[in-house]
Amino acid sequence: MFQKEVILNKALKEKMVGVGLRTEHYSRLEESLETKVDFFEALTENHMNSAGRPLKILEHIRSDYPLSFHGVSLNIAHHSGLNYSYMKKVKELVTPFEPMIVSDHLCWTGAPESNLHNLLPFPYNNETLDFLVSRVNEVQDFMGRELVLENLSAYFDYKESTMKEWEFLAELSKRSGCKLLFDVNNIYVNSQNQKFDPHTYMDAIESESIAEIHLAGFTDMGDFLFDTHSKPVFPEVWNLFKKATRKAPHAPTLIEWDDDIPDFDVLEEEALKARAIISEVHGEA
Amino acid sequence: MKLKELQEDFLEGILKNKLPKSIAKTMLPGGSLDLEGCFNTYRNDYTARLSSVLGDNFESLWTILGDEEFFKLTLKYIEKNPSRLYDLGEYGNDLPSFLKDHEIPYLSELSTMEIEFRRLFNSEMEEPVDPQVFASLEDPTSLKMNFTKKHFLFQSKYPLYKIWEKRGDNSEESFSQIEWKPENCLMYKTTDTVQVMFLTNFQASLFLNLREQLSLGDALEKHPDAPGEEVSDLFSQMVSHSLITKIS
Repeated sequence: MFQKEVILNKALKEKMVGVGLRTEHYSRLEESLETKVDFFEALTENHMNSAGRPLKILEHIRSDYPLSFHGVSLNIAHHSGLNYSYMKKVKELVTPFEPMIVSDHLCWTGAPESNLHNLLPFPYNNETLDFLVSRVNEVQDFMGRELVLENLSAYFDYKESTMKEWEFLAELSKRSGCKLLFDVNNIYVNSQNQKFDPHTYMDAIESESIAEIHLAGFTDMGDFLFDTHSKPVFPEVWNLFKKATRKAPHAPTLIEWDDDIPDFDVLEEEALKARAIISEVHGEA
Repeated sequence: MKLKELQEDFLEGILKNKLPKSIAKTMLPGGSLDLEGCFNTYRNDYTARLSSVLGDNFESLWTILGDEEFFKLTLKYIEKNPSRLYDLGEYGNDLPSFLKDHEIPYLSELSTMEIEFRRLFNSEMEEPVDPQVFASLEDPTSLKMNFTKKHFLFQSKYPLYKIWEKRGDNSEESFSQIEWKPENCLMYKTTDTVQVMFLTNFQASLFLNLREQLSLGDALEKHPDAPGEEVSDLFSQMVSHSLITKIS
């Protein structure tokens, strides 16, 4: 079996705030590593096929900051077999950096012969739960570490679902030992699109199963909320974040921004807002 | 509906741009989306993502074709070339063959230049031969050389690099400044950045002979009228730009 405790418990520090590492900020960070954030999160796929600048920037950042890795191509919920060549590459990339967290999404992204490069939902029921428990164990055994999976934003559910998303996540974590990347923006987006109370969702998740918190901005399309990561965090999401950090003070918080990416200072300001809320919630000056 | 069937039908629907009946039966759209609207959110996202990557990876093509033609082309390419990659950033590597019969004759070669630039950009540097070694060579004619693998020689009827250099610049005057003549452009990476060196026809041919492991003497025998200046210019550039990684 994999060594569950080793990575998370050793490396995680309470109340850390970080930002997603994006190409647009490489020059800024190459010039100076002085920032007000505590850690950076790299998108795994952006760095796994490069020995050039994308790898050098990780080495540069790691000299001063902890790193976490966040992937989008594990495709853990697809019915076909796991892609071991992909997982091998992930393992080879992340191991030297001793990351705090290695995460991906609880979704499927396409088939081996045609990757849709999208985070796609699947029905939440006993069949998929059994399947996913076994898949998570397979990944964790191969990677030799605890897997952290993010709840996704979805614009539909399936009639085949027999349990709520939060029930599924809680049960998956309990049965497989995987941890959750609690994306508060996704919870809010889904709660509005699928009309449920986000507090019910958050209450159902065990505090200990939350390894990390993500925050981002969505776009109101008129007929639904779209998880675009192209805007500042919305006030409704900041409010839910208060609850999330109260629930999981041990989990680091990350600001994601993937489209219409602003200057690094703007991103940093969002991280500082998160830090201020963490301090407020935990009664610090 | 089993997971396998559901995923196969959904995928086929996205690729064929048609909401399958089986998916329509099971889908519960969010917000105030109807079934088609909900499915199109995913369908549009798929093409937008892949088009956007093609735009990033092939900016010079986008500049030449303009928005409308470029995105028409990306849609056709996406339809015929589903991504088999886990790294979306590498999508588009079949574009050179897809473009080989395009009415703009240099578009395929230009797309190769974009791919090779990216490959070189992401590659690791190799250790070159110390330039001092060449100074102490007694008989350079017997010399055989290995070059860094981090290079690509473009020999084209068109000024590819000069076109590529204008990517992102949509002004007409910018393109009118290009002198339309054949070009031998050696693109390489021996420092942190990708660099280029322009070669004469003779230098390009000599470089290829040397790359095929001919000794300098044997390579020069193939060019009895070799201009001495061009030989020494090529040799000194290869040494000073750290292109030679091994000699024997």
